[in-house]
Amino acid sequence: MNCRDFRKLVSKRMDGEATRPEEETLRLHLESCADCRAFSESLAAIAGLHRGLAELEPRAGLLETIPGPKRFAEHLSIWWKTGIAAAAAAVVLLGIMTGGYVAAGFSAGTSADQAEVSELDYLGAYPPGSLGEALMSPAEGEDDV
Amino acid sequence: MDDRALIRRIGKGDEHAFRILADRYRRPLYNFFLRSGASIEDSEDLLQQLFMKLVGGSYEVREDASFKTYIYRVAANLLIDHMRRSRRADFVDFDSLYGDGETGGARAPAPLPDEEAEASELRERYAAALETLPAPWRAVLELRVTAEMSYKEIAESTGLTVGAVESILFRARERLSGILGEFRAGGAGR
Repeated sequence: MNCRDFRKLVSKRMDGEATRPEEETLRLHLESCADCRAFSESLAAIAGLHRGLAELEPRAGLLETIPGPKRFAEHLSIWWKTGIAAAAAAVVLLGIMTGGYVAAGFSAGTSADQAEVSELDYLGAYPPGSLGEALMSPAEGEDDV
Repeated sequence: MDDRALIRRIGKGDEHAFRILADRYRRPLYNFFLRSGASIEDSEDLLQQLFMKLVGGSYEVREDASFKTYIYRVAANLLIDHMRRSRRADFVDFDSLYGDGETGGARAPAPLPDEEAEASELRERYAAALETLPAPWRAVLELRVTAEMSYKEIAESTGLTVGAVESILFRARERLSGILGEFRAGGAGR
């Protein structure tokens, strides 16, 4: 281990993260290394300076605008109800629009398709000699009765 | 009343408990954001977001973890998101906040005794030295020193590895030590 490794241990020890063997190794090194001792003292001074940093106060009333748990639940409830109402309205609107579209489809199909359907009278005709013709055609002489 | 008792009360809709908890944490958390490099406006915004999350969310505080660890974890996540969005463009320097070692702004008008003046200048230098650190390093330093989180907790909060947390803290301190060492070697009050 070189001095930089020991200085890493100084930082780690400061945070209470060094293991016992690491602490012991460091202690022995610091006894003999003035530079690393100076570093260790420097970090202690830094910790003190950091703790001494002034704390600023947030703007007055900053958190007053945040609803507490009760009001938040009420807000949530209002949003929830509004959301349900909006969703229901959307479903109805969608239903109306879909129904209109389907109906429009039917009516649009009527004029074109009816013409085509009207041309299907040939379906009423049966091939000559078929059972359909035999059943549907008036029997011979029937008209004469 | 301890944090856990307050949390339980908040869970039952107790407004007063929420206000007590907010009062307890608003200042340290605000300073956490500021010292990590967020602007005053952003720090206020982050603080509001944090408490909105607190009041609106379910409290997933583990039995073995303190509320303090939990709330700083939420704060760290918000800060990290903010850093990613802002790309540090609107991050302020510490000197503008702690220029006189107190609340920023005007210098102390009356001359101070030598020792006190040197201490004051050292605090200024320290604040300026902090400013030279990358914002994520400052955030990690704050989580360790102010929030007193362990390496593991910081790693969980930030997504860093424990090794990276250890390394960042060492490098940050090494740099701060170097800057202050230069200052001292050059003599205070230059």
